Amino acid sequence: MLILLGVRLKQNHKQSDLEIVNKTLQGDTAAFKIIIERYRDYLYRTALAFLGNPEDAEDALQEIFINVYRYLGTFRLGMEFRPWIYTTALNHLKKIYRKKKKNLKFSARENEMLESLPDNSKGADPQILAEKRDTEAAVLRAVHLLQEDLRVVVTLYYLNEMSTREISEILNLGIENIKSRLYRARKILKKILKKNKTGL
Amino acid sequence: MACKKVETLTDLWAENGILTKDEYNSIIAHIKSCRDCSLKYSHLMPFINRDVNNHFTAGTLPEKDILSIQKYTGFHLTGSINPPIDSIMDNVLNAQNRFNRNRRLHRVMSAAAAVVIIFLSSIFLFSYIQNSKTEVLVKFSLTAPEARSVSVVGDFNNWQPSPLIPEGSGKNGIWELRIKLKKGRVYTYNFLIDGKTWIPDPASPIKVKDDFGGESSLIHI
Repeated sequence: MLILLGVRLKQNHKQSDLEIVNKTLQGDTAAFKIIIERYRDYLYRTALAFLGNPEDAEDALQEIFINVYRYLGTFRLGMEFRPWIYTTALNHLKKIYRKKKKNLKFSARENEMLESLPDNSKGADPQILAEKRDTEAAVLRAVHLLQEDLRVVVTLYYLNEMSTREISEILNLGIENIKSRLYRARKILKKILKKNKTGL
Repeated sequence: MACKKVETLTDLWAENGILTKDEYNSIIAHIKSCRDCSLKYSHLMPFINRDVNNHFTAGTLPEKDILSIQKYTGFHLTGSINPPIDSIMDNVLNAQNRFNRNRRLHRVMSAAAAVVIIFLSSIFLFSYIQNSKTEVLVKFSLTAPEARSVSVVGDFNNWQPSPLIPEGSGKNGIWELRIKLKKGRVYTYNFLIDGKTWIPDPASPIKVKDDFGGESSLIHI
């Protein structure tokens, strides 16, 4: 049983996004679970940085996957899947952000913010772990404070480790434009994070 | 490394988004031992690490150092967050089922709307056909034994001559034509003899002046 499970996991790992999408489109709904496994954490952090609080981020994450599943038929096989899923996710996040702009605030409940982040350092020094998660929350808070056009690029480039080429595809902007936004964002992030820590 | 150097390197990073691995490692080494710089720069390190090592994590640092400095570098994209994968999947499928149900309902409603439209159209068409039965056959007749041709012209035929036909053998000089006209209207007309002489209908009791100094007959059906 364990061997079978191992084989299954290995197969899942080997399958490309396009193969999984193809399977899902052919009616294998369970295949879609692998898409969720692959993108859930990245999209959650994207949502968290974008919307600023765990409740909205969780709701948005759920809605993003519902939209992705529903409109999977519009994805053209042969294209890259990652830009497509991020475009779908960002469109949804922008829609929510603009709709709720007045009510959205970065979570004042810092503890809740910290609790919502993954804890994958089992066995690590509790103090180090706490500081690491404190860093994560500070980073997300700083990204959330950026204006929307910078926040999108920073979220994709830094939090999701995408290349500027990929980002330019997703946002339909030139690479120089992306680099210019990253330049502006770095300057602001440095100020925000320095001020945040030192109170300057 | 002096604090000033860390400031310069982080400025350099903000300006260009580039640092060497040695420069990055020297910042890490410094902020581990300098509380002031740790407070200032530790939250910035995940961003710098992404540009230097292409990861938002500890990356290429020696393994023994990773745990001790991971507080400076940040993100590990694993672990359990809410909602769990199974829960997301369940909600995706439930939402899709609801969507499909609504789409089916929408199709049924569209089909029902189409049936109603067809039904109403049928009623309209039937009514139109019924209305066509309100037309009546009107006989125009003129006695003109000398005439070689007689036509009727009126607003019902846009004043274009409709020729009358001699009745019977044609010896009695009576010309006739039957035309379908709709009920409930008043028509104006004249007879045209030999293609040149306009006269009102002598059998019509109602006549009106026309725009050319002559008279036209009126008929109400």
